[in-house]
Amino acid sequence: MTAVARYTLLEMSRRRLLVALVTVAVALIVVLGIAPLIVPGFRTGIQRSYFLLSTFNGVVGFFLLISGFAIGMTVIYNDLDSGAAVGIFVKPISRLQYTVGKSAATLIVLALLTAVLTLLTVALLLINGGTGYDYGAVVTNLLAGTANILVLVVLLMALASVMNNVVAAIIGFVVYEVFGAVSTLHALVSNHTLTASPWAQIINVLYWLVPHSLISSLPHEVVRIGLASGLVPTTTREGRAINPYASVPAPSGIGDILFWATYCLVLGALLYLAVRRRQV
Amino acid sequence: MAFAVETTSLRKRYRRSDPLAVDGVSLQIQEGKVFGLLGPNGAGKTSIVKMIAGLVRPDGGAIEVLGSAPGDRRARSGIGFAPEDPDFPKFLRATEVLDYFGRLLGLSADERSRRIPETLAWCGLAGERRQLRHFSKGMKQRLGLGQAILGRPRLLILDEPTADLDPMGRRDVRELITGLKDSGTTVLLNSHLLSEVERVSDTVAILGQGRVLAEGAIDEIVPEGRTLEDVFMELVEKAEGGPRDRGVPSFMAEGEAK
Repeated sequence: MTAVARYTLLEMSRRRLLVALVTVAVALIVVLGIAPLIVPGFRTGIQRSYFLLSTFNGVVGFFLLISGFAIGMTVIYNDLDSGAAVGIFVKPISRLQYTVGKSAATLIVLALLTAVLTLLTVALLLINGGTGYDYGAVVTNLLAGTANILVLVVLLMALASVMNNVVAAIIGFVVYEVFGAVSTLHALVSNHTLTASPWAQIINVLYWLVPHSLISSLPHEVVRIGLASGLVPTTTREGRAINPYASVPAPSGIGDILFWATYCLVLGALLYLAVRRRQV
Repeated sequence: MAFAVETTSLRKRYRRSDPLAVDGVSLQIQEGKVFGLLGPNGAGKTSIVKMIAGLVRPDGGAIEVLGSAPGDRRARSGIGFAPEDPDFPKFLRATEVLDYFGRLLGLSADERSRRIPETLAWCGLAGERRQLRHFSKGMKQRLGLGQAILGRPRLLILDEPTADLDPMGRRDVRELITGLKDSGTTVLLNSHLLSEVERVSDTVAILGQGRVLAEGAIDEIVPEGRTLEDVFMELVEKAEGGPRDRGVPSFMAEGEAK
């Protein structure tokens, strides 16, 4: 099992696509991080922080999604497709050990990516003079993003064990988007923005069939900083008062985290069954 | 008499609409002997060796490998398998592949550091630093043979081991088989090359359309004054219901070649 994880990590470190993705992401984040110091218009540290927090979230999320696809589509599929799995499966290692080894390597790579992005983000926020806000929210936001991508990665690994990996990616993408849409609709129901019957009830039921996207307290923090910097309005043009927190989703609780963990275990079990059934 | 491999009425069909790839094959491979599996393309040879190696599930029948079910951890500890068209994680180097597989085999660090350089030297890949994605088919086949013997198996399964090898490589494989036979290793050799099988095998089975057409010691199967090729062609053509002489396509005889 450790041999599988060890050599999967070595392989991944030599894959140019992944290395290029990390390089581009780091470069983009650094450029975005130093832009507020160079571009005129950001007068205070809190304005720069607001810009950084609101843009980093999208960049990091996009990068993690692409990396998730690059890893999930290939980490097991390449062995099965090339025939390398023949030499591995004939050795005295169980399919469970193989699956756990591959999953552990994937988890380590995602954890390393998260660590690099977290350190980079925090460093750039400090350079921009960002004080007075919750750094814990930045860290948990990256952890939540990685946890959400992990669901996609395990799903892609399972699908790519039984079908072509491009088809698996298309199916995985559609399923992942459906999961996201259900979570968004549920947030609207929770906020009482969507109350129409029977849709609200249907969405409430669907919500417990899909993995819950884990949400950090960062969206709340971004609005708070936006209000402090004067970049987020508190009234409409007509002068009516608005609540800027109204559309901000609440951070995930322990129940959501446990549900996410259970979902990961279920997908992991499906992945194992797919690998176990596979004839090479 | 102890058998390293025993199959009984083995059956395999890949798709419902396909004919049986393996149709009631019963074989017994004696321990310490070289068993040659012969047959034309599509006769079911690779399916049989993959079922014995525990890589493909049979639809029916029974298999016992080294006293266990195929795919069982104990059986796999004693098997070395060189597949027909071997491939490996393409971003690794030959040394890393052998170290990876050595770890999967449970070899200690000392054993790996002793066996890997020797195996690479035997494969003709000592000093090769390129990643596997830059290897030729012949180099991969040599590495495939190397990883198969790395664990010093009790049963070595060679599926078309010389298909992509040059004459020197073929000689090395022949010498390997002879050497292993002397050390008591059982070898299951699946090959198209009749002369090669004839030179090293104690027993052969000739397959056709998923069935065993003949099985026995070479001198039992090949009568005096005839060759293994004569017997093979006769049995296969009979199983296929007619002679195989298809001639060349007619367009090849029209005018001058362009």
